[in-house]
Amino acid sequence: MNLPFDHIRMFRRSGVIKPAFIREPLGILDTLIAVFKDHVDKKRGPLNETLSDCEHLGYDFRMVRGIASVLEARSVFQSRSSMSPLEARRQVFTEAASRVVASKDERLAVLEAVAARNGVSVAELDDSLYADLDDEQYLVSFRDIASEELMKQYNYANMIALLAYSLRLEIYYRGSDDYLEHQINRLGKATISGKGRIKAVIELKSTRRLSQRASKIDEIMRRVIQKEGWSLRANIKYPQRYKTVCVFDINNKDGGDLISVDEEENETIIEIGLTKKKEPKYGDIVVLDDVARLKGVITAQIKKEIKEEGTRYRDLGGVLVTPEKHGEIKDGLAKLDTLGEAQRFLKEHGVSDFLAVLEAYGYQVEWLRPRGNSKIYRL
Amino acid sequence: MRILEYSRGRILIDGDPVYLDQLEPMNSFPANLYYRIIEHLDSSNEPYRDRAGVFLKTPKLETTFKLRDYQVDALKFWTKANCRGIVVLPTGSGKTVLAVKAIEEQKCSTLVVVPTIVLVEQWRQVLQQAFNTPVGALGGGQEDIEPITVSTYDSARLRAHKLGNIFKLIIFDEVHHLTAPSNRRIAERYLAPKRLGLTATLQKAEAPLLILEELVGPTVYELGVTDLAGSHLADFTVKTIRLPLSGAEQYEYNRQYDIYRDYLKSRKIKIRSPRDYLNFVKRSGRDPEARRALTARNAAMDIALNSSSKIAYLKQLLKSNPSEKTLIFTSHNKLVYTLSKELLVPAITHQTPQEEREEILSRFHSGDYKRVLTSRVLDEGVDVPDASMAVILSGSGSNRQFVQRLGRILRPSPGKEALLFELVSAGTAEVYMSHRRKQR
Repeated sequence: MNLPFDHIRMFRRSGVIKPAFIREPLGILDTLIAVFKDHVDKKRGPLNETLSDCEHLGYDFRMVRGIASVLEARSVFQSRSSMSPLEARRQVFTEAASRVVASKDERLAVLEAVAARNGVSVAELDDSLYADLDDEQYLVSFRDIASEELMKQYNYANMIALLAYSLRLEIYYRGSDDYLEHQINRLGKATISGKGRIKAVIELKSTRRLSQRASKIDEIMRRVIQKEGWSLRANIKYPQRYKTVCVFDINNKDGGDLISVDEEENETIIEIGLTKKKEPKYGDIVVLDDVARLKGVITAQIKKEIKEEGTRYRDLGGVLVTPEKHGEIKDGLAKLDTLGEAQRFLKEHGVSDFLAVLEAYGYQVEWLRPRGNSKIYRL
Repeated sequence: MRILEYSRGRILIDGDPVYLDQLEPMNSFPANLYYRIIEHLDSSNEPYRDRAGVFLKTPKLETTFKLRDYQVDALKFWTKANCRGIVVLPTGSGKTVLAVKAIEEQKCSTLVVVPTIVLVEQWRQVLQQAFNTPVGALGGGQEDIEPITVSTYDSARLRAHKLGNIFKLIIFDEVHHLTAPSNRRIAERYLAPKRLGLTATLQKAEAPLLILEELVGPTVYELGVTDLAGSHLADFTVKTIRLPLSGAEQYEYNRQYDIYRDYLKSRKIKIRSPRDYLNFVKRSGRDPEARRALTARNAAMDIALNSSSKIAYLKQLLKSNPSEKTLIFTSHNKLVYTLSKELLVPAITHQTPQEEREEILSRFHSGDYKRVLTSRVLDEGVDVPDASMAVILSGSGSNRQFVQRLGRILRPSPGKEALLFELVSAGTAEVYMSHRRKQR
């Protein structure tokens, strides 16, 4: 994962840039873990308020928010409502429209009338009213973590966010890895050389699609840091308006012990309880470039709309998939052999740009004629 | 002989360069200077061939729309100014009708540029109804080009290089949006020699006003709400109610505001303009003390804007005016939802799904709902059904926002006197904000 870009913390001096790593388990790590644990079974609104208060504990607010976003990725939020929030609102507001509700008794009378009609309790109806708002979702589970591990995962996320501003990456690692090479080639203009010790050089252009780039770099780095004798040199232009390109170096001995990834990383999943699930505006699978081109806007605009809509997606680098669809697609594709089958399968899921989706899932195509007989495989 | 060509937002001159106001004669100009190049070449009697403007042909454009006297004047002044200029008329006074008539009179291909996708649909419906001809739309996934097309600012900018030379008239709705640097490119890249800007509020003090004048034209006609109140708009009364904070709120307000004030004093920072404030906000990104001061200021303003006495007064107001169709405006979404749950009044914010928003507005229009709560999303860009009373629980210091909100209750009907209540926390910085938003 990567931190939101406005929470990046770094040092820069004499042409050298370094992410500001946390080097020892600070008290704030334990505090924030405790905050998340204390808020299990409580609404997101109060959790957010407590997290805002934690920004005044004397630490850099970007660090506090950054750690919180790492913890949020370990959380599952869920809407709880006994009836559809939209229907609850419609009925309650209609019932209340004929009078002015200014006192608790008047309010209760309206809620009682609507609750009785729908066979729910007043409390359930009250809870359902705005259950579809972010702040009203419940934190239903939180995967606990030790503060030292959290520190390392925060450092990793901070590093990945900074690496998204790279113009050149030079990566060394031992042992060939076809999947990794594939991911490296997807990132930019890459040259891979060497046998025992592999050297990969990736030239990148400055981009506005930072999230997309960060998720691709994340895919690469989470594999690289598992390798022996790995090292990375990045030429970083951060922020983009900054004229000087600075160098960042890290390897398995120097700095490598300060980072780690969450092996079980899942998206923050929002499950809609009993309510009817709202259909995502752009469907379960979104090929960003495709949708942006159709709408005549930049992909960031689509991402912004999606963020506002509140639908959670897994970012596969240019392709967004809802968590529930992700498993289905992944498993479905694993059973298929040919491009024609994949095309049909993805078409059934509403995908027109099926090659982009195949690429996002790490598939390669061995082209044959007719095209539909081409073999697909994942290294 | 010179030949004029249009290429990706610029006019290229094949042949001798042209001298307009620059230091040296040039062969390439931003497309918005097309009308000046033509004027220059016409006046110099030098032969030229114009291959730049490839304007779409329009069908017969006739409408039965009738203009009011002030709209006739506005159109006359705009035509007299070579069909370039800005018309400032209050919300609800018929800017759209004026634009329809301008298109009818000019009988030329027209691009109407609007700020939101919702407005694209609204304008499209009006234009289709007026001219009984298909109207194109750009934005929100639509890419349908017709001699009369409505586009969002974003889509117009993105397609400027393709569409920049096919429209002879360009109409900017809510033209103040054009002052944003990214939007200026629209006006620069389209060569449309005829330009009409429409807005309800044009701040005199705005520095980009000069840019607007260059890109669209001067302000050719201007009327405020007071000019039309009682005749074409409903009479209105603005009541500013100053309400004290409770003891605990006042204590907390002072405590928080002092943190902010002390910080500014200790660093010798003076906030005299929005730019000064922006610099202070930027500083808070690197200085923890500044961050503390900023959050303290925000906390103080939260108390002032959302005080308990305002809520109590609002309840009283609603109780004593149960049959008035009322819009309640706030600054914060959080307060919108708190009040919506407490008073059981429908709410519209940026989080409200489009379908639900339309349903609420339609029920408000039909009178099924008597009250609607909203934050800033209804300030502009949405056709809000008429109301007779508005309550501003909190707002910014912007005069534009104040005028837009006032405009929401001014649609005339016999014997109507619209009421706007502005609730202000006494003894807080909100008093200054209230004073500022009513100044022009």
